Amino acid sequence: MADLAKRQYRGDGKCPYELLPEAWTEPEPYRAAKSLIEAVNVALYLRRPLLLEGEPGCGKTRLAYAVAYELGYPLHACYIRSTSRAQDLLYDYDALSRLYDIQERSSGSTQGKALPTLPRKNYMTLGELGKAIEQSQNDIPSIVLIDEIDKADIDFPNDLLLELDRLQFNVKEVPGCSFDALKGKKREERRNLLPLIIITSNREKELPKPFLRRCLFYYIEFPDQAILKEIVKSHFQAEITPLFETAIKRFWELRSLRNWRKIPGTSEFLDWVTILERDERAKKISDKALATKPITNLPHLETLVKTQPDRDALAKLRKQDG
Amino acid sequence: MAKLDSLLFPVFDALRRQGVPLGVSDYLLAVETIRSGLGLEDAARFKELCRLLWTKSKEDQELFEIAFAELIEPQLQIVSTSELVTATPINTSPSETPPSTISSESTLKNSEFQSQSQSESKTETLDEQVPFRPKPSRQLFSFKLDRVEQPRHYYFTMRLPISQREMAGIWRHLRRPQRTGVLEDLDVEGTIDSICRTGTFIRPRLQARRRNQAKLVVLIDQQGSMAPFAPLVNAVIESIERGGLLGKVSLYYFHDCPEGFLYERPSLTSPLPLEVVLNSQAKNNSVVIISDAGAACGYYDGTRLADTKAFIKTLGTYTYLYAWLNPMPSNRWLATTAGDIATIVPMFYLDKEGLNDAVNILRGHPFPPEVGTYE
Repeated sequence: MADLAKRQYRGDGKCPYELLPEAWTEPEPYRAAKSLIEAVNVALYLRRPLLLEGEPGCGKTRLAYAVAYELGYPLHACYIRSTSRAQDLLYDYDALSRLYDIQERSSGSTQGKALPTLPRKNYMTLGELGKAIEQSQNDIPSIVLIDEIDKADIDFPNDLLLELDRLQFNVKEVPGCSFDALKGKKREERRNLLPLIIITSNREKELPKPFLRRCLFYYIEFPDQAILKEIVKSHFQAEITPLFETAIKRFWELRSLRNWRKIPGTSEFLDWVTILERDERAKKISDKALATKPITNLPHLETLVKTQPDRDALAKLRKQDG
Repeated sequence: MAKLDSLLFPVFDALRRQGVPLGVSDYLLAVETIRSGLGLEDAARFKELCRLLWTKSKEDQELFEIAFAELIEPQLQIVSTSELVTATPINTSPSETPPSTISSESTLKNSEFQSQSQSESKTETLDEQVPFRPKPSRQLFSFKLDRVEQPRHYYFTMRLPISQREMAGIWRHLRRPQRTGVLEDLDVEGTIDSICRTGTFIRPRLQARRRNQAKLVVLIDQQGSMAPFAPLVNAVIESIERGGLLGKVSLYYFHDCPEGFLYERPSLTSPLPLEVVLNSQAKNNSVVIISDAGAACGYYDGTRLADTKAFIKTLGTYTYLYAWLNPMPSNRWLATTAGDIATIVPMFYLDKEGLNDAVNILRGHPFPPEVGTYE
């Protein structure tokens, strides 16, 4: 594992490195822009959290999976809900079942000798970030994905500040149980063994300033036509038929048609192309037919246009065109 | 080091002035990263590295583009890509201690490449070979002919009395965390308490999670004297929506004074009766009114004062958590309607301290002593 310092994310979907224990092994077809690959490598070098923003459906979450696969690192994914608390990411202590067990044992002791109480550590389960810190303590780096952090309550990012900075935490219910990824050394010395944290946000809420200061920020733009072609190629392993090219062109036209309330994104495009491919195999559509159809009347528009105002606007345009 | 500083610091300073949350450690991090060799492959990578380290949102990236184009690009353009081949990482620099022959202008005319490498030797303060440092001004002259004159771009940003980020931060304080909803958390203290009382453990006590129960009703004065403040008001609304009160903010519009009707749209259409709105939305919730209260008009209007008094009295029957935000500074309220309205409603100027005080009132702090609807 001496090459940890040299592992880089290349964005080609292949893993040339030795896999770490519990590494993420599912290949992830992901095409990243060059600047995004650079950003990931800088974040990897500095081991600072990488904050990703962008249109919904542009591939913020899948990047973490792709990075974990290519580097051969294990992946810990935390999906945030509106009721999430920062402590849930670190650990969860089940006080209730311990209480039940104690009751059971003390009532069982009326028949015989008293059973010893189980140690408190048994009732503690580590959360995903806690597991990552524990792995770092054992000198295994990993990738941590914190998805949609702005869904949580506003205190959530602030509560995480200390843990993100120093990568250590104590379990207060279990005396003497603490995890420290830095192991008392300086951050620079243990850099290659720390987890890389990738955070995604939908910009629904403004994140607090102390939190933003610690992160590196990257905005994922919608891919241009060339990268869109690569994405289609990597998802549909078969070679590109002319239908795909026409689909890309028409999708681009559709995006530039008007001010969308919810603009069709990459994931919608992939769904649409899947359905078109199925239709092509069933001989229901050909690329020439797709090229000549009016833009407001494309087949399977329901996979692309997701809100009622957009659909109404398209219907109006359709009527105008006749 | 001094040369690198003079390159990076102006951009850093420009971003900080615009309100991007950056600190000294961010600047030092950038310098350290560049010195260790990242981002030096070409000008685009350098720019991306700085952008990655120093911008924290899409708007910041636009500010960064402008600052970078203005301050650093002209320096970077001097270096043509051929010399980047000479870029050496930090660990080989000691072996390349340059000859101390300082070239004069005459040697410049020999070859471009030679003068480049000699100019790199000139900067004795920087040990590493950073390929595109700004050259001393003497040598700039020989390259100026090749440079195309940069078209000047002007980017107009709003200079508000308080930035949107700060506003969002202050609105975040408007929280009323209360335990409501499904009982799902274990109440450890309560369970222990019940065990102590009864001596046995029958069932655990549960409590609900704390949820933010703060609700805000925003009443906005539109058109007329408030027309010039439209960007400020939009910034306030956006900061409220981002401040964490997702879904619990209602906006209503009026003109000059809400007399019997409030409008749902900024164009003052689709009216709703005032009492209906207050009854459904404002009961025990915070209400904030954004209006100049006649300060922008500059004169005293008795009818406006009377109407506003009546409105505040009606409002007072539904909730006591209300405050008034005025886009005009407080020294302009004197001798206008606003001066008198400020005695019946806690009125604050829309800057950091004023907004802070307003949010405190909306959370339930007592009114300032001289303010109140006394009859």
